Amino acid sequence: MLHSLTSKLDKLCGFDSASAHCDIPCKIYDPSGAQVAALSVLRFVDLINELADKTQLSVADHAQLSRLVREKEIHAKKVKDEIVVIWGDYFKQPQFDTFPDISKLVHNILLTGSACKQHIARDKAETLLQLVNQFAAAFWTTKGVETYTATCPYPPSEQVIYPKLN
Amino acid sequence: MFRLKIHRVSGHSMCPTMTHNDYVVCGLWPGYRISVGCVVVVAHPILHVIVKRVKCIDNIGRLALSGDHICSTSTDTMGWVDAHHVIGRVIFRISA
Repeated sequence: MLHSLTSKLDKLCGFDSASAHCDIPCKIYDPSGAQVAALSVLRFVDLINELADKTQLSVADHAQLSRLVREKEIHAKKVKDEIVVIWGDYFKQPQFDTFPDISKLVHNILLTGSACKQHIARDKAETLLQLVNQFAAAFWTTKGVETYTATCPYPPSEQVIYPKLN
Repeated sequence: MFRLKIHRVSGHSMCPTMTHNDYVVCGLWPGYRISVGCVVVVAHPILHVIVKRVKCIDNIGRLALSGDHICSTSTDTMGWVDAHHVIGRVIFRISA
């Protein structure tokens, strides 16, 4: 209530903003970093599950498993960070008006990103990629850039939304 | 001299203390003190108006600032800030 009152005052008086930006605002925003990170999570899940199929794990397998789990968590965190920055710094009222559910989508991405850190289930990693693709499609629409869907030319060979830039 | 100002927070570098679209009330008053750990709104010479936490204060009163979130602009990037650039010490947050 206090916030909505202050918000109304803000519209009347126009309070100055105090930047808590993560960097100097450079206006360079691109969801491809989040998409590649989401693909990486999926790939690491696949590689972990390949190890799970083995009846016995060698020391080298254990070392590989440790590395895969670590990288999976780093990339799931990266997805969350990349999306939060675009949502927080790039999306303003006009973009929120175009995509009123974008905050719900971002929240869903953050929850799914956390689930991908906690689990090794492929369906969670697939969902993460789909959600990030939805976010990318919305982002490019706000830029007036058309998109197309293609299979990425490397493992895990999943469907990715790309911008049509030519 | 009393001065009270309200600022709208833009960005996430002070998460979880404050987040994008929060409002902060900051002020200066006779005898106010800036100490390590307090949150200040600063008119930074390069980054303009920013809200950050005081990380340390050198022996001539300049401030080193930091964000609460790991992705914040680094203390080194922000550099030492003279105390007269402080617009106010954050005394109240209105969360979004």
